[in-house]
Amino acid sequence: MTDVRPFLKNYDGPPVRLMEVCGTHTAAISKNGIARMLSPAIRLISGPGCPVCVTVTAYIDRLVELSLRPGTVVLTFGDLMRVPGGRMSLNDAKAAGGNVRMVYSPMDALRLAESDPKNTYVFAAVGFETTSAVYAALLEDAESERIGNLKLLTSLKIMPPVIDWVCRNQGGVDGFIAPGHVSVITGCKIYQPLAERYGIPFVVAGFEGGQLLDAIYALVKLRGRPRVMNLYPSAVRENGNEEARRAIRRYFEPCAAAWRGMGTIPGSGLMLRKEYSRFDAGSAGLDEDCNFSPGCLCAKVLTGAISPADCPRFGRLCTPQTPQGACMVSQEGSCYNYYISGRGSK
Amino acid sequence: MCVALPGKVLKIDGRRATVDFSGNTVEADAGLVPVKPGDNVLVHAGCILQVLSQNENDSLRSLFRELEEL
Ligand code: SF4
Repeated sequence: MTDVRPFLKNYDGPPVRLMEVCGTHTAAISKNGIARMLSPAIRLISGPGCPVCVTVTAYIDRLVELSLRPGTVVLTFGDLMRVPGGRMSLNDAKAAGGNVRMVYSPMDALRLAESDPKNTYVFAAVGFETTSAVYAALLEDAESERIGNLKLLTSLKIMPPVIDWVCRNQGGVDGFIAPGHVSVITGCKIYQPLAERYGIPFVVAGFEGGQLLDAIYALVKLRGRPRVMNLYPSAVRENGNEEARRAIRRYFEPCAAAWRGMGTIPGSGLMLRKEYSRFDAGSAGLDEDCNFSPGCLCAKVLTGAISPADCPRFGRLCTPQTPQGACMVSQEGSCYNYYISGRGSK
Repeated sequence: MCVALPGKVLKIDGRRATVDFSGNTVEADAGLVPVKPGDNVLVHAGCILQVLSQNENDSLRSLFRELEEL
């Protein structure tokens, strides 16, 4: 196959700005040193696809409150533990006697809940389409095994409306590296309306260095064309995983969702359907978002308005040891990844 | 958070599958896609998301031909 590296290094055509939306792509780009392999005329910017980073403080506050309630155990992925809420993080809540446990898979929640029927287990259900499918599978299992002491606190988001938001409000993006594992569920054709509306290409990419370089090459070549191209065909089908989408639709329905730095975007989230409210730990209305560290520019970083290195605190006051915002806490956060890889440093 | 890893299905028991990740075996939920032993699958957060197909080189090659012509 074509060696795309010399093309990408020597490119001297019109400048292109490409956005990688997915936090896992941001992490892979940093790990593989991709930004350094590109001509200065090709700029990569990171988008709002780190679920932990876009979570608003009201959601963290609610988890903290639940963890401190007798008879309730909060289960979460590790990344969420250190994200500051309005008053404290889940880590702080744990130190203050809150019942918080880290798990690797929502499926662990089933066994924990089953073995301890006296307590209610609340899973901190954050994520995009990819993880929403897993929560749907979890609820199917909970129903079939009649596990009644498991609930979700949801902050689930879907990709197309926020990509639309970025194009409409931020602009200046000449193409998107479309999220690989979201596309496994949604299929690649969901990007076609966006490609046409904004006259730009979308390329679905895998997560290895070579796959990312191929996707960037394709986007530069397709510049100005409303084309969707799937360069991750081993996992991503035109129609995605219909079975998974059926499971998601069975339990969840679209709703407006609050995003850090972007406010509430209509139709950009998923909430439990009314008939499944018995699984809901009180997820409605958690929209408030106070800036937990005054001066943190996470909101601008998340929409690609500025690069992490443009934040005056980046690398000085704010490092992975002393994070001032969620983007430096999460291992998929832009600030964290730019810091550990030196990406974007001037 | 959307990290997903490829593995091979060793056996199936209802909605549970045993998946091998180069020597490490884990249990994964198999409720979202039909799988059988021997399938290469993509696993995310303890759940199988998709069966991976192996012969995609032809389609990638033709996409690249198209790009080169631009
Ligand atoms: S470097 Fe720190 S303070 Fe600045 S935007 Fe990123 S997380 Fe916020």
